[in-house]
Amino acid sequence: MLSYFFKRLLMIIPTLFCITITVFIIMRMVPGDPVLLAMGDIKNPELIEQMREQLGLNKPIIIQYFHWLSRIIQLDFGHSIITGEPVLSAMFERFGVTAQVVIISVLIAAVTAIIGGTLAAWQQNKAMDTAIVTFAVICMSIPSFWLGIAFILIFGVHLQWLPTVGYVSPLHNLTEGIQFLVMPIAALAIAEMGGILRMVRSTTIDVLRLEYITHARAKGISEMTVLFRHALKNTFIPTLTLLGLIMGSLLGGAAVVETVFTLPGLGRLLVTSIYGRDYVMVQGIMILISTSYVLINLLIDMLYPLFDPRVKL
Amino acid sequence: MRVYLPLAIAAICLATLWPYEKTQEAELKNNSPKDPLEIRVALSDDIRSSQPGVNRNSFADDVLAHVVESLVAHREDLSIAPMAASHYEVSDDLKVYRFTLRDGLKFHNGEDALAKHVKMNWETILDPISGFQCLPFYNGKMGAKVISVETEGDRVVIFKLDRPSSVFLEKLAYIQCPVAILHPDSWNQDGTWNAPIGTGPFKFSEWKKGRYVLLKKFLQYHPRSDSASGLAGRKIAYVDQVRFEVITDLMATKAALISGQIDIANSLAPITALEIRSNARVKAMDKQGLARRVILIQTDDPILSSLKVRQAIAHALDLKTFADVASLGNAAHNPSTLPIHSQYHTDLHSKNYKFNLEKSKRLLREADYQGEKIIIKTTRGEQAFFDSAMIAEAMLKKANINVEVQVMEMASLLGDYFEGNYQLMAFEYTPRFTAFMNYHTLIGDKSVTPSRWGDPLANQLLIEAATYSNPEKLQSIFDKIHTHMMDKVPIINLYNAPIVDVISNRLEGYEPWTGAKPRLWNVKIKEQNETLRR
Repeated sequence: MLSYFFKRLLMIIPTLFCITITVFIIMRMVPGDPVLLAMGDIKNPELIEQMREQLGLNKPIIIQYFHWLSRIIQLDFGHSIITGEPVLSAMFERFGVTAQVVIISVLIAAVTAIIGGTLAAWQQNKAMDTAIVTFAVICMSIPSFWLGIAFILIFGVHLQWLPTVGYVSPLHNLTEGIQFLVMPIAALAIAEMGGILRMVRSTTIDVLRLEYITHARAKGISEMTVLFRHALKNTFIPTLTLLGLIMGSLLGGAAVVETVFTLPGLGRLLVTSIYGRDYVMVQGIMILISTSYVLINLLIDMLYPLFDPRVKL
Repeated sequence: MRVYLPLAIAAICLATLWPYEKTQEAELKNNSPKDPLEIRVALSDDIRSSQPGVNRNSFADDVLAHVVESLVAHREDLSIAPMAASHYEVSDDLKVYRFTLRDGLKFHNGEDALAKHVKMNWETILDPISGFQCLPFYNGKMGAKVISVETEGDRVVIFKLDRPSSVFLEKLAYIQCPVAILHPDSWNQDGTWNAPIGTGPFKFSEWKKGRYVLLKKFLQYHPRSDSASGLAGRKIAYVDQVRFEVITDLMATKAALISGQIDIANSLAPITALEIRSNARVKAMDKQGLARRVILIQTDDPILSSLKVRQAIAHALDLKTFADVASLGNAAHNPSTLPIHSQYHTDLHSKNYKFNLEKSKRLLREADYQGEKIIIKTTRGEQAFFDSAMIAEAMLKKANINVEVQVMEMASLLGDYFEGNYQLMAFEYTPRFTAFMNYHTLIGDKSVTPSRWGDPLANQLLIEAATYSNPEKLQSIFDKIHTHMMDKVPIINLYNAPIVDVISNRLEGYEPWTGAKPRLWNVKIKEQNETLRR
């Protein structure tokens, strides 16, 4: 298991290397010079040259790339072209906010979907199944940003129960912090719930047809025990894979929800940095997102034997 | 092992909270006073830095206008008034400017602001490594060069120029890079920037990047005695603090306004304010803005270098209808580069190109235009840009001009603008407060700034304008520039963008300004008044 873990860990290196090249080249192909954008319309050729020199943008692109790569290896991600703040600390600060929203919303979505999907499979083709599947389809059809806007209008503007802009950490002020997080978490959780629910339902239906389930029922075990103790073990692995993919993609891709709720998360920072042509920040964030994506999926793989002892790594 | 799984998940959740929590400590301490009186203003993007005139954007200008003061500032009518200076004198030859600092001028750290500080600041910005964006204004590359800055005692500063300049005061007051009076401790020991220690009515307290900028009332501020006007005059901070909250989404801004979580969203487009205008919780305040919506023409382009093609484009556009439709009836067509408010905007500046499709077609024939494709670049990042491009496309096609709209993301559009990489571009110039500055954004050395109009006569006239202070003489020069521009068609001016400031009903004393800057001094919160009355 350990050798598998380290082998997978080593595989991250070529993956990240390819990502660094792709991100670096794409960012420089996009029109819009960060120095000219920073200067505005008072053109000062000396200052432009000086800024290019400071940022290393006056060197050939290949030199720029290897210079940046050599610093990344030493964990020096550089400074933002726009604000001058260290990229590493900016990324981790924002990553913390995104992680709170994403991890909690995925957990809520997973728990709800597992219960709902299992019950739907148990009651296949009955009223409960129809209701749960309809709910899942609705969840999948509504984009999270639309749901976010609807929540803001209902709970923020009309009822005025929850704040619509800003952020407070729940560890400082739990009540206030939760108030700021309720709507984004709910919007993301509902949007992601549908897919997980359908996955759980279909795999549970397959599992419930297996002989060991019939055997368990013949022994007189209660239906709930059959479902959540015996069937769930086998349905959980594909669900776990899906959860890993969702969590990985949301950690870098929750920008829309973060923008709607003005959360200072990583996705919003990425979007702002792309608009401002903050090469250094975009490159750093892409590495963080890729690494977290790979690591989360590695973690998910490592969890497989916990749920199915037949799986050997 | 299974028992530990929920614990592991909980630990991950806590771990995600922890690093961020540590960074909150400073903020929490600052927020500890019980309910300070606070005005919250929406910023549609974060500031780039807190250093005036260096690595700036318009949001930084908005914030820093409350923190720092220049020797002079713009009045409500955009004329120049003393600000950090109590008064100033200009020599007859327009080469010597003498400023006397006002009494009681103090830095936010409590130290007196003296003439030596003005000189020190000046020397700092003149250093090429300072990154001061407006350096060409003062080193002779764009107008007169400052040859010396001298002090007389603690309160008098004298600037000497190498040639006459009537626009020196305008440059000092220029909102994009004011020559602010800053305490030396604004810089770190190694010369890097720390935070502004200025002389304004609010002091810079905290910048939480991507979230907010917090300014606190400067208790030792000694206001001027003359009445408040524009960015000048008597400024009193009535509230304890002002928070500029970064809200990049317009829908979120509107929701926050209605729900009372922010107090001011300034310079909104009329269409954006439309749906909240009637809400009883807020008040919409309209103002004619100074920003100029235009169709830029690249005169170096192989097709558009033909004067007749440019004239054909001008005559193919029904500009009155254009302005009416594009502004949703909120603005009239302004053919001039000068804003309608300008004292130099006379009847001559109201004369526009006559809409005449036949004339347009005739000019195209004379120019031997064979239907070559002309691209109008625009963006959806600003709806007004996109609307202008679409209207222009529809109108130009009626004159058989083969135009096509190319939609780009805002930064790409700006990049192409700075590099002069366009044929036609639907664009907006942000507000410029004076006649000279308005023409200055358009006319210049094309080899240095490819988006500018490099016409020798226009350049010559603009240089002349910078050497006269006589209004009649200046009027004559600006009239000549306008007439020449109408003849040569390097740009088609559409209209000055109307703006709407939407404010919470709990505010008193807030006034929108044509300069499109929020001004939070002299603004009170109604509950504050009621408490005082009790």
